[in-house]
Amino acid sequence: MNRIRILPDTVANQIAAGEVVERPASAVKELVENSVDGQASQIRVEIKGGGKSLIRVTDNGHGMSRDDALLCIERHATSKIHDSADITSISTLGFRGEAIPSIASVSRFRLLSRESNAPVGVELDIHGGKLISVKEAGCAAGTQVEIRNLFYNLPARRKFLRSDATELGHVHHVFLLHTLARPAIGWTLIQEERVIHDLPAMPEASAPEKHPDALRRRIRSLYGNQLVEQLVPVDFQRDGVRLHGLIGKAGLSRSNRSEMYSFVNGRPVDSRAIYYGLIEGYHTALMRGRYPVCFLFLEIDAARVDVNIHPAKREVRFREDALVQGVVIEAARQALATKSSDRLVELPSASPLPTPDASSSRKPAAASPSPAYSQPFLAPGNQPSPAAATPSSPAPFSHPDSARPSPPAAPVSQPLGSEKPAGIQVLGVLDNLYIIAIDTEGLVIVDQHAAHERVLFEQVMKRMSQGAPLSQRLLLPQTVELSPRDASAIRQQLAVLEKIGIGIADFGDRSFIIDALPPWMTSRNIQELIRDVIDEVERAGHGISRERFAEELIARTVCRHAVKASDTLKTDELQHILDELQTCENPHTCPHGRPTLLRFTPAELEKRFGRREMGKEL
Amino acid sequence: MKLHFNKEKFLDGLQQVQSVVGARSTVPVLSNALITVQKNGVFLMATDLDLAVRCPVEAQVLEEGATTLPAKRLFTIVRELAFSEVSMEVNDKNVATIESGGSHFKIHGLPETEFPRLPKLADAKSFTIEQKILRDALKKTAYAMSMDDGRFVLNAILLTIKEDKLTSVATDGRRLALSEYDLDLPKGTQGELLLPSKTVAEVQKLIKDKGMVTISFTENQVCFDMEGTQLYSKLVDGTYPNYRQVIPSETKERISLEREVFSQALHRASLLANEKNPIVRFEFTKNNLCITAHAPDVGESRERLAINYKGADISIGFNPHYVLDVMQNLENDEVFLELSDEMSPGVFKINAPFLYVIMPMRINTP
Ligand SMILES: Nc1ncnc2c1ncn2[C@@H]1O[C@H](COP(=O)(O)OP(=O)(O)OP(=O)(O)O)[C@@H](O)[C@H]1O
Ligand SMILES: [Mg+2]
Ligand SMILES: [Zn+2]
Repeated sequence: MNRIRILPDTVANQIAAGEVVERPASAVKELVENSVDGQASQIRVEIKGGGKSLIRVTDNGHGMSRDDALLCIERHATSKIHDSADITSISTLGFRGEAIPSIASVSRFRLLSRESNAPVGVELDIHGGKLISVKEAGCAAGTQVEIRNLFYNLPARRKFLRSDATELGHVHHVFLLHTLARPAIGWTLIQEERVIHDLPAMPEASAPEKHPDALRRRIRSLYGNQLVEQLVPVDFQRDGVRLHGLIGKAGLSRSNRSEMYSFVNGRPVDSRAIYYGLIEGYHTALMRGRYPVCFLFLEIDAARVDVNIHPAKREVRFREDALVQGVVIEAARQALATKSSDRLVELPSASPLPTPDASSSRKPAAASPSPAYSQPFLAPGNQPSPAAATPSSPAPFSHPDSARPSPPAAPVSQPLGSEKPAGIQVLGVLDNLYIIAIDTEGLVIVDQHAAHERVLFEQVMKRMSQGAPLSQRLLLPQTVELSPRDASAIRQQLAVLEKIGIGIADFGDRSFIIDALPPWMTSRNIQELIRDVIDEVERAGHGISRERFAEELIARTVCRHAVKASDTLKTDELQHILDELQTCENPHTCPHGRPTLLRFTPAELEKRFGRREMGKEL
Repeated sequence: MKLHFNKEKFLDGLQQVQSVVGARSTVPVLSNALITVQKNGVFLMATDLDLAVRCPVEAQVLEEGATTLPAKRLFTIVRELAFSEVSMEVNDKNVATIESGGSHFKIHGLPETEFPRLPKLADAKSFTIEQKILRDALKKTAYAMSMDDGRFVLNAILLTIKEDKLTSVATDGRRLALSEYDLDLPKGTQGELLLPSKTVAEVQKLIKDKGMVTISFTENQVCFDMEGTQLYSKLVDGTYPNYRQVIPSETKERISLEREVFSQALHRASLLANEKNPIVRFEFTKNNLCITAHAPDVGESRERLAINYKGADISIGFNPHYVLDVMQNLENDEVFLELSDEMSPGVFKINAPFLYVIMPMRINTP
């Protein structure tokens, strides 16, 4: 008896559906992709019951003939590729010919379509993969696909669907992704018969020079003004790879990746090369462990990217991963660097710059306990236990149920109005660490260490870029011995070290002699410092770039030089730090990417005091 | 315990111990001063566990005893009293009653038994010198100590007693100050003491221009006894770098400078050398010194001085603070600067066994 049998198509389609259609949102995705591929300029998505009861996608694309419509419900029927050679350079979103038959096999499915030059259209009804009826129908040019009762014939799958609200959330996300991917297309989202989004078509977006503007407008309609103002344009091209779009200004960050949107040749995808490249490109402008906001479009020859690696096409693989990552890093660096007007507050153009002067030179902290000198040499008498002696009283300002105010990313980097007068005024300092100040935008809390670090960092970087670093010779040159790996890494960086003002000579083998240091660098543990920097830069991957090496070295050194978290500073010293911070290119983060300041606008305070309901002000 | 004292005399003593009282001590008793009242004298003591100061105060003892009282508070109270005769009585609950004229205060203390004991310097070596010598030695070198926390051997002054000489040395790795004194000590007295910077600062507060100081020391502890007032401290444990090797054995040029004139000119020139740009340039040409500073984006300064100089033209950059530091801590009218070339160290000298080596700074032009 033969055991092996060819499965009936309906069963095969249901199995495929398991991969293609996971939930209502995946059906929406497949349908809007077909509409996009079908050259629509208007796409409407209607949803009921979180997509579980109804999904209806209507477009004004080129539509299908009666024969095409009948074909498209067959497995592996596609108009988009013809032979295996085409698979290596796919320029459409669909290519497998699987979506429609899969969806139709697990729902009550209706397709209406008319080619623009055809007098009448066609209507197909399919229930659980079985063709119920084919008839002529009067309808608008384009295609409408209706999916009712998804998974009605697969109760096990239906059971796994989540609440309407959750499913709806996923649908929203898919909708959002595609509307961002295609600003040229007009999009409408209707939910339970209410219009949720109605985004006008911007056909001009197809012209590369108009795309950034159109994208901004699209983001504005989806997110509001505030986010748009915190984005800077990116446009960079190298070796046939072009990256463009918008990314968050330095200081704008999120706690997860949910606002990192990337599109490869118009397809929304997750790409490690883009994510890691971007985070690396931000470097000190992004707090460690936080994520940037981006809307990035990568254009690359279709043959250089593989889209056929993920069942839902959510991931792509680049044939030259490192190249792409490099493009992203460089693009982000340039975008962030050219944006220098991102001040803490804008100075009125006529007023003089705050003059940095010697008043910021601090007295060194009173000799703090050092390794050889930390053991008390007098044994205290019957001293009470230190624990009892230091009741840990809750810090003032602390909130009972959230130890620290959650650092909301948005308020942190709210761009400040340029027409308002400058000025940030110190009110006091908390725990010898947090400077409490006000300016025209509201309350500002500044981390004195992080802020001073940023100030020093930029001073040193500036000095270096001016090409005239100072170098203080040492009385006692220091010999540094490195591991073979570190030694060869350093050898490639000798020029950079000289540029910073470090007098270093290769003594052969793995020894180096250091006989001069820039005045802001302390000579202690220079060996450890260099090793840390090499580790750090190597951890970031892809070799050590010169800028990165210098930046890392300087960031680490100024950290030691900056005022400490526990240093008691006088009001004018605090003011001085704030004034200098205002003049920084990148005032919102310390060189390690931690925030230097938190901002609470009156609106934010109103919300926290319950004077205004969350979210109601929009 | 019970005593009568004179307000000013008692304040004097409190002042001496007060600066080592732990500011935000986690051990409450360390914010207190120990008061010991014995037939042979009344003593005040304070400690922050790294340093301890003990001093005698003149008082009339009525009843022996000991207690500890909050030092800062006691100081403020005594200072504000209107009359100079003060009486203090402490009961066995360590509550002190202070009375003077119409004033009456009660303050709560802590038992004397909670207070740390002074270390016993076992097998200590000791020597006695004039206070003004130690004072001068510290003044002429202390400013050159390293302030970077972490290089603890350099956060110290090295005092060496050897062959009838006291040598005081401090360096931060970029400049070095050395001052030497001839002593008349019993044969065989020698030692090396690494005094922590905090200890140096305290000794400088207590030391006077007259009288003697006896320095007793062991491997890791030291006691300065300044005619009754004692300061105890730990010593830094470590090996001081071989500083002799950084002192240039010969230099090409020796330039005599009028200290006042030179330091005022330098001070003015350095107004345009700031934290970001700590460099001034010294250009020596025939009978002429030109001091210039140039701060990118800020401006520049130039000071011209007539000097007596016949050597080769030299142009050398220094951190102006390093030069001003030494100028401020010297008293001589005439100082000498010895130089070789722009890459080699400069040495300031006076007509006494003192020298100050300072490494040049250069601008790396790309
Ligand atoms: N909205 C539409 N407008 C025009 N043609 C459509 C539309 N939807 C589907 N089609 C046609 O039906 C075919 C099958 O669609 P289906 O989504 O099943 O496969 P695909 O898009 O080719 O590949 P994939 O399975 O990767 O999505 C498409 O190739 C296209 O020719
Ligand atoms: Mg498709
Ligand atoms: Zn830091």
